Amino acid sequence: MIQPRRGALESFREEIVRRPQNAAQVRWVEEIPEREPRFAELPERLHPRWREYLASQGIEQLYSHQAKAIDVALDRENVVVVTGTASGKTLCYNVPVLDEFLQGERGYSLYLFPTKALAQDQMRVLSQMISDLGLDIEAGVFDGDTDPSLRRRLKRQGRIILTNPDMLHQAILPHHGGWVGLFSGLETIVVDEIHSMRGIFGSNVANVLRRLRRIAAHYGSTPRFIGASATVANPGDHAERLIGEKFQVVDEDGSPRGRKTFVLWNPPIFRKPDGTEGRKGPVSVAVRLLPELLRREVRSICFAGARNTVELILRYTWDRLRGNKSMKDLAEKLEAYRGGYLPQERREIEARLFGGDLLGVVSTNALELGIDIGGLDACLLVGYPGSVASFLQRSGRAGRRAQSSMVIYIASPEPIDQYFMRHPESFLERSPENAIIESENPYILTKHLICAAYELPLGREDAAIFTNGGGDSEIDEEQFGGLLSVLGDADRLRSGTDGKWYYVERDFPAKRVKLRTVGEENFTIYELNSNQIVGELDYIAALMSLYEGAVYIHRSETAVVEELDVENQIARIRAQETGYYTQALAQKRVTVDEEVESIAWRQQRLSTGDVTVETRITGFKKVRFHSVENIGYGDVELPPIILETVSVWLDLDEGTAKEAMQFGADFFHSGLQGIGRVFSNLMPFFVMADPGDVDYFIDGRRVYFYDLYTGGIGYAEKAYEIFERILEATLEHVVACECDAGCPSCVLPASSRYEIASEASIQEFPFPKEATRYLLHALLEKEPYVPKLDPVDTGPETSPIEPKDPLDPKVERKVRRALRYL
Amino acid sequence: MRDRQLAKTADRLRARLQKALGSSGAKSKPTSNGDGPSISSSAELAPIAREGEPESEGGLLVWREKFFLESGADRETRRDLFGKDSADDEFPARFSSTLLSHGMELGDIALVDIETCGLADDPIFLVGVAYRSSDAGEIVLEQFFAPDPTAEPEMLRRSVEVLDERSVWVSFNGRSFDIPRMRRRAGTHRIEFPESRQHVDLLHAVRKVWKGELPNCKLSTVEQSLLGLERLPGDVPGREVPQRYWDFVGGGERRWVEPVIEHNRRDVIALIVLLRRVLEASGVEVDQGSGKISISVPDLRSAVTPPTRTRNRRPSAGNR
Repeated sequence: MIQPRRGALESFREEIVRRPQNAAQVRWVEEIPEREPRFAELPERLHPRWREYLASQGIEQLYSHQAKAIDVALDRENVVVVTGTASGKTLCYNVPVLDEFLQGERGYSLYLFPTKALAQDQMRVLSQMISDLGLDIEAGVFDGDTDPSLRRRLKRQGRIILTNPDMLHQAILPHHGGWVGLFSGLETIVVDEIHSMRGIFGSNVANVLRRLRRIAAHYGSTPRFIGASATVANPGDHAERLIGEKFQVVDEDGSPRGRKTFVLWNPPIFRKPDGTEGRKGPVSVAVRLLPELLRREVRSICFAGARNTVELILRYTWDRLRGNKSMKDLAEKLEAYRGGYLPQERREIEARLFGGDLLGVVSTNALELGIDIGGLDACLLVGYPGSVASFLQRSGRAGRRAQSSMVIYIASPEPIDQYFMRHPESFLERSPENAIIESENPYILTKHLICAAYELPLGREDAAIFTNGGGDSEIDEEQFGGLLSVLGDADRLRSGTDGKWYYVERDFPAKRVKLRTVGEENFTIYELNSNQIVGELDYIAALMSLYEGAVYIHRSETAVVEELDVENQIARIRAQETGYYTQALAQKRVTVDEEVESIAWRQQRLSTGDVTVETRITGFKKVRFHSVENIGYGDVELPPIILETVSVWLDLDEGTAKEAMQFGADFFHSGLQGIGRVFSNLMPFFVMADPGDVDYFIDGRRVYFYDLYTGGIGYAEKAYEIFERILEATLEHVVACECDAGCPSCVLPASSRYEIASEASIQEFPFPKEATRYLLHALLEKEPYVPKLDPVDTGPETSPIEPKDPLDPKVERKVRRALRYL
Repeated sequence: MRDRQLAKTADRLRARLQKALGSSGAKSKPTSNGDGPSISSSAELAPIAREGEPESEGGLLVWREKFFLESGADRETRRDLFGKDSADDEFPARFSSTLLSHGMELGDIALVDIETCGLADDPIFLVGVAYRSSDAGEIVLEQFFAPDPTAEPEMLRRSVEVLDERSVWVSFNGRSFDIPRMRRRAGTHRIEFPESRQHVDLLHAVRKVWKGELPNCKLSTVEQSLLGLERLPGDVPGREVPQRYWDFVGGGERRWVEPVIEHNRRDVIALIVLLRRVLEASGVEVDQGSGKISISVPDLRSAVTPPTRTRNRRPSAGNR
């Protein structure tokens, strides 16, 4: 592996970060001091060959967390390791698993990774280890890409199976009869990157894991679990909710860490042609810094949010490198990496990174999870990635062993980035978020019970498995029978004379239950000059970026989309140099399909029901590379992206609106936007959702909060029940925020993710916080708030709405609704 | 339209049964010969008890019929049931001696054929088994039908009882299909499934002996081309079988699945004659332990098939 040139980072820091014309843009520099490693002895119980093996790998002693985790696993207790990137988590599970083989036992193990790429990556590590230890064990990756002969071999004699939750759910559990050996002798289940199993995906995985435990029990095995996680606020609790068993947490990281320098970089203000001022985008800084890093042979990764941004950064950086005689060879040392590239292309880039052939990579979050690409020395973050956990994950990519490293966070003009630039001192102290899951969510549980009934008839004893997620769940053990009866009434299950519930439909249920909200990459991108498939995208991404006339950029090469065949899921593109890229223009609309319940709430009306959220790509604009000039528009005719879901909505009465309008229409609309943002940011905590699982939309005097999940998933319904409580919290939050006029921590948008811009005058209204407070007071019937005056202290307490007794008709409704989409 | 066709088919089947029963069964109430109600003096080949209505037993529907292999039956009926070979009056006797020459007796044998809902882990809904009842001379054909998947465990238990008592299982592709499927579904319901027996898989035998002569090795082809059985009227293509069953489960009428049950009946009965044909083919040997068929004369087929069709793609005798 290439070592960084001695002093390369120092030179970069000296010559670039400290350069006077850059100094004004560098908002903050913070050094995190190095940390000495803490070692521990190899557990005595391990087979003697380990000492030999580890020595051959240059490992004399284990890090303390490794020794601890291995020790717990050897006791056959469940353990979750929560340590930083590159702290050697892999050893924590490979050692106890392989030790059994060294000791002459011949059990089975199942490894679960959140993505196919990770499983492939860990397979390489594992097979090397198996051969170095002189073992002869059949191990392999079983996923959608596995060819039939290997599938058969793994079913017949595989001892260690590496797979992902989706494959477990659709291909392994329903066909457990083909895996009798595995399930009868299952000793260990490894679940890696459990922090990524959160939100709707996590709640689904939790149920898949309960089904897995049930099948294992059916064949008489009680496997231990070994989990690994990046930093979250609640690792132990998360592991227990995810898997449904008790866990020991090992979170004292014994690995060494080099000195790490964090730089917060705010691009400069510039004067636009029309005389107004604007802030340069983060891309412009990234493409300036990357060549400086590369020519100093600093191995670097640059993270950006959108796929197109990744391509732009690659293209611009290549242009720069090639335009400079002394650096033009470096262009070959930089690549892009993102979802949508073909798998073999991705594997090749990973290997070139790992082998040191590449010095740098520009990537989306596709490289955020732990694919081993070797240690890197610098990490650029183009814009805030949306969560502290994600920020930590990405910045953890820089820094190998005890080497020093640098993380440069380049702010975008988005309010949240600008807020952090204004308050850089507290930025690095922010703690990572909680990972939230709710395995007994009626929508999710219902679907998995049906899948489970296909696998084995459901009995009373299964209640304990499926209803032990803890917390104040809507369905507990007592109501399990009631839930099954509802499924029986709907004729999805039928109870037999043995009292068990059987699946009685022809369809294979697991096929209809998706674990993730992001679709599969099932659109093929076909290039017409070369007659080759060059990429793949999921449905929504395809509609958003492969409309006719769109410029598709692939590793900096442009192509124009000639046809998007939605029915056959093919985009036909033709490679050509365009000199511009395209940006889609979208419109969103929400319509109510059926109002299920509605109440007069204080002076307003609060309702819940089924809605359709329609996002339509109406056209696109052409943007010239580099200059970012707008050089034309195009029309698009595409089917809208339809989300049928469940929403809660609040209609402000005319009187309230009129009162607010005395301060102007923008005041009113800005206040409503503020409520929308803060409420939707807080709502996930009240309804047990991940922030990405809910969204809001404002239409006149109405504000919608809806589930980002087809068929709904119960969040909006819960918000309907505790609306006042969340609204009170919204007010509290706005009041407690230290800012004056409003910030992304309160009423300003935290990111422009899906936000469809409202009118500029509303966006730019100078007192959004005042407007929001005013409106909240009015809605909650507190004493009228006088905007722009001294704020009132705190909102008074109100009695929380009583939690209700389930399994009542409402839960039943959810269950039935879930069935509709099954 | 389709219903009418089906009804017609059912009528025809009924008529054929009637004929079989009427010509011998109805008038000859078996006179006792030793224990039990069975007879051999006026023994017939025709079924003596294929009632129109199945019995309802433990949540299952069970079709049960009995027939005799012994001589004396009318040839036409016999041909209907068993194909052209059986028109020979020596048929039953020769069958017994053929079995004996391979170390088997009729009483050791269970013939089995199942119908499933499709995928490996979809339920089985019908198991047809035939065996010689121990104390009487007759062959019993039982079809255990699960009216919905909740009855699958009971269906498997009943089938396992039959299989467990016989030392030789005979099937068509049962080594890789029927028995593994049953074993797998039994595992799902925690029903103990017997260890493998001597298992004569007639598909393997047909492939070895007649492949060059038959357009394919499907059982229906074998029944028509080799055994000379008529095409079953109103037969249902295999791919339609699962949907018919699920329609029935979802509240449909029984006549939707009756052709499937009749088809299964035909297949189980055909196994009897096919077994004899296989065992009588020259050079065939049955391994006493596993039941695997081998052919001792390697050039057996070149003697019976035209040379032009024999050269390519025929697996060698020992291969599979």
